[in-house]
Amino acid sequence: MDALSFKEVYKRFGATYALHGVTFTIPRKVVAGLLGPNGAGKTTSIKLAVGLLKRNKGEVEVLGFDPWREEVKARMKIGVLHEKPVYPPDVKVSTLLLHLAKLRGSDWREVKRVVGITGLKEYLNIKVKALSRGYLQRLGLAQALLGDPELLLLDEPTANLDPIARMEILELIKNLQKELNVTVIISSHILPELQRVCNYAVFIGAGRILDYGSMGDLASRYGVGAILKIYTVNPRLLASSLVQEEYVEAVEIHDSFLKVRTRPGHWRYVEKKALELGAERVELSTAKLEEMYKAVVKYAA
Amino acid sequence: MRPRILLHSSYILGRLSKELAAAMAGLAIIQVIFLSMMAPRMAIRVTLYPQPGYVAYPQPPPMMLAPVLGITGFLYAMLTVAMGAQMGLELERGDSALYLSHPISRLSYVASWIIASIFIPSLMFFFSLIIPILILEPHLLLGVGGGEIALILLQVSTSGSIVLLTAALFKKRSLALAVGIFEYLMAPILLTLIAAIITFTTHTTPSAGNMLWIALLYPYNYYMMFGYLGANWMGAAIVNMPVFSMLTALLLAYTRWGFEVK
Repeated sequence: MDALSFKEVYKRFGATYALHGVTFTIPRKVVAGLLGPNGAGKTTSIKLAVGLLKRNKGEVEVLGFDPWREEVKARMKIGVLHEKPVYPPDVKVSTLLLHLAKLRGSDWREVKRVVGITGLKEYLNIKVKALSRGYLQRLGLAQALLGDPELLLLDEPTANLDPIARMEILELIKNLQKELNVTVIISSHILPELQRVCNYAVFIGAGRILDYGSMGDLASRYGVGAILKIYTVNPRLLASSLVQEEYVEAVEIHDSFLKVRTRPGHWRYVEKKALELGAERVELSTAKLEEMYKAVVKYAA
Repeated sequence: MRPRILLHSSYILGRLSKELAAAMAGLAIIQVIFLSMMAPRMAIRVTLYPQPGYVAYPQPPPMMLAPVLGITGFLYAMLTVAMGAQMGLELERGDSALYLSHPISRLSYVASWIIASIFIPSLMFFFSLIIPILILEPHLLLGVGGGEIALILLQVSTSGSIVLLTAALFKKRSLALAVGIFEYLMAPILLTLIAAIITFTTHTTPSAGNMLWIALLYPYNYYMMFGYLGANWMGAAIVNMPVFSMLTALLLAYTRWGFEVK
């Protein structure tokens, strides 16, 4: 069962179609980027996935549930951080989180857990209106993590943040996936940010899906350069061999692994070569998202 | 685990507790002042003719509830309208998306607002009125007095459901507030004028029966206006109750099938 699947989904606001026959799937346990320019239909897709909007046609399934008809069951398993979230200003952080925890059948212990993860412990007795933008975003993450959800939906999580707060939030998201092992779907139009965290991508534009898949598959499909993380007992030795390969652009040596940048369309070849040369394991760290995005858009056009 | 409707309605009430406490105190003070004046020994009617003087009532007549119901009923109605419009504010501002992203159904969310903005203010109004009456003059509750209280509860609840329906449909606090104020304050004046014009132009004598349509939305006003013509409070309640039920059912049905949060 996929974490999220859309099948021929249409959503109309008045006479304008926000989504036009959208079909894609996102498997479990990935960090997926929902990528596209402003107005592409990212937020609409997320709101349909949460059951806040009703589709005009098609099927939406979140962890096996229809989010419009089985809204409570679906929302029990998902945590959401909305784009430009609004919180009641005169409520204390603790009151708000405790109420939301209770809706999930949890209690004060759950609030303590999420404020521990998001660094909000010191702010529990402060009113929401007194929080800075960075801390409001932490509050957003904290409420999204309540009840230990299987799927996290983050809509533009770094929007309107200053560079430091942006870095902090991205680092937090990265750690969340590692520590909690949840499926994360991040919608954004800022590609370099997602480069650091995503291993799956859904490209959307003007309410239509351009393409979707794992970064590796997309990189191969569109002939885009990639960065491989190659684990080996002797990184220096392997680096000296790989650097001579024509499809290798650059090699970075670390204690137990190498970071190898490959030429567009050839990461599979480099992966195979590294394994032949005695590498223990090869991971596709990232493909170059910007390059990939350009290739996808060009192909779709 | 407590049902989510109760959890969310008590959260709403907690957030609006200052306003509610102030309204409750205001209602209680006004009602105690007025009802104290109705205590048998103080219940007097000033007379100017044939001789200036006063008549002391052994027991105050039920109609003496009218001034207290007029003033506190107005406060109660405005409290209900203002609280219902708060749902419009939540939908307009976007707080509702936060709550509805957690495991609470759309139906429970709106039902929580029905409890918080209609049911709880009605209870507050009822008890702030009933307690001083029971202490000072219990017999006021019998007969016509009890009917008047029931009618004002129905009338305000109907206004509350109109405000919530507007808030759910249009997601605008100002619109919900404007509709509520118009419906409760302006429309009855217009209806009275229409009734007067109809009566005047058709040269008919108004009767409680042919003015019963006013009770569809305003059973208390109807009873107060045509009580002297023999209007029956039970009849007014029977005419209004299907309207109130239909409005509430419409609100819940819309919530279940078409209520979207942007």
